[in-house]
Amino acid sequence: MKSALVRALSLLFSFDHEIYQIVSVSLRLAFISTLLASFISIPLGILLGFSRTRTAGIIQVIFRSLMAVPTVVIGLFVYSLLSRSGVFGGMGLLFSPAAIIIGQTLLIVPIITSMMIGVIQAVDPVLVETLQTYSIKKGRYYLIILREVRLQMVLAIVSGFGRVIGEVGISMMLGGNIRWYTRTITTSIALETSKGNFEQGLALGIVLLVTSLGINIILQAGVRHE
Amino acid sequence: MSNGKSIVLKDIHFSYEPHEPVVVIGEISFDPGMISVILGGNGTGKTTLLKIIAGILTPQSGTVSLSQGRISDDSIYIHQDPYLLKGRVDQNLTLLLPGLRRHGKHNTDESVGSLLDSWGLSGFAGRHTHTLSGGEKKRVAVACAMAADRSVVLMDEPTAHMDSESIHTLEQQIRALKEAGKTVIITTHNHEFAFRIANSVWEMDNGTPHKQEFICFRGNITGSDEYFSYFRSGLIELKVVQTDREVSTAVIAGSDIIISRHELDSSARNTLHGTIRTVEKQETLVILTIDCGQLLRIPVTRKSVETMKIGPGSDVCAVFKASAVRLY
Repeated sequence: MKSALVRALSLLFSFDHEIYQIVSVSLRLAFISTLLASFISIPLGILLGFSRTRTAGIIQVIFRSLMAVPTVVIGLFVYSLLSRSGVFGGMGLLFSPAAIIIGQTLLIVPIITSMMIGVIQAVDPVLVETLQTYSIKKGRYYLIILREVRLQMVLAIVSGFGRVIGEVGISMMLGGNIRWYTRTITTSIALETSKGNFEQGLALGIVLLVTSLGINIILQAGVRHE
Repeated sequence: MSNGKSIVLKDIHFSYEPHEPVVVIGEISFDPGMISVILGGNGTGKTTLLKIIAGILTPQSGTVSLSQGRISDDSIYIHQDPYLLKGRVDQNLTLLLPGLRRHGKHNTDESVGSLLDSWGLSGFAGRHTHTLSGGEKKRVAVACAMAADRSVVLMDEPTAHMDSESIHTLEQQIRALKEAGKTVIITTHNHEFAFRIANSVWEMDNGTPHKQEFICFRGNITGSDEYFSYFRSGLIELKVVQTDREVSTAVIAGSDIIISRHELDSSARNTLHGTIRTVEKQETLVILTIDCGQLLRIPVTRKSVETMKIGPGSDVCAVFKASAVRLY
């Protein structure tokens, strides 16, 4: 463990080009898929959170169930769509960063949506009544509510980010772990471990932890500021 | 004459659960430009009634109508524990009232600042809402609601969690609303506060508000002797039970007043001479409006009206005991 830590630190501070490329690919893909998922999940979460219909209730249950879907299942599903014989096979997206982004987005849409539903359902009813009595127009109404729950919303988004930065199944199946192209921290760890290069794998794991820790520290600072 | 708007509630039926009515109203109306106070215990439906009037809750049947315009567009409801948005007080105002925004930050700050100044909240603009006390929060909520400039102001338990000084400030704010011609409806448990500011008092009973015939005299104690204290309101002087408290309002329930054609030789210490102005027949009672320097609305039975042979223009005496006068 100690040697892995030393190796991790030396990897980080040796400014090894490949390591930084891997970290950069991981972060870039995670950011883009989190951003895409947020654009889908936040409005969806608001819609479902405020809706009292039976259909909305059923959709909520489905989303909650999808939170636990293994990454390889999503990988397999997207693979079947993007492979040459699949519906979108002609687009040639398989084993590209775009394929990973699609898979990762699908992975975290249920997570962010479910968390947003919870956030919206926990909104103080007095806030809703206040906005009603001031006859606030719909667009502004939702913006004010999002402003009030911004912290919880950021937490939901960060949870999604945490899920994608640490997933391996989708990146491996849809990205193919191609060096200098689709290799991410997690696929690299899997590769190094399979080669018996545990120290390198652990070192990359520590790099992943440091990255996650950095993001959480920034978030915590935001919480304190609030 | 008030330029406020009257509110009429007709055939209202509201329940949260089937077969458990919370508010049931045949027909009632709230006077325009006046302060109406609804009294009643917990769970009697006061808050629900206010929310129905505000348009926040929709009754299963019945209508709420305003003499002009739509009630939901021209009323503002102030919650008993108001929600202030996160951030500063000035952000609350500009978010809820986009009309306060002016071209340029300086001009917006100026319009928000002058609004807060006019409600005695100078220096509050930059304060974060989570640093405000319960009373301060309520005052900010009232100022914000007033800036919305609606004809009908609905306040739910406005004195809850307030100290006497804050209540005093709030009373001034509410009177200012009346002066501005707003129709104000307030729910409260605080009888003292209610009688100090109310033009009409309603008692909520099993989801139905009943108008109470109370007579309020505004004035002060002018002196005491060995038996009574003397409360003066304009030309009227009332004998009341001895008190050394500072009071501003004397209240008598209409049902505690006896009407007679002549002065009575009785234990009642107060006799007000006046002339009947109107006789209003209600379901079971008759409401006499008697002018004795102040208009008194006194309920009597039909039988009394018939046997006494009284009607508009009759001179009568309104007689009541010193102990029937409640002082606030």
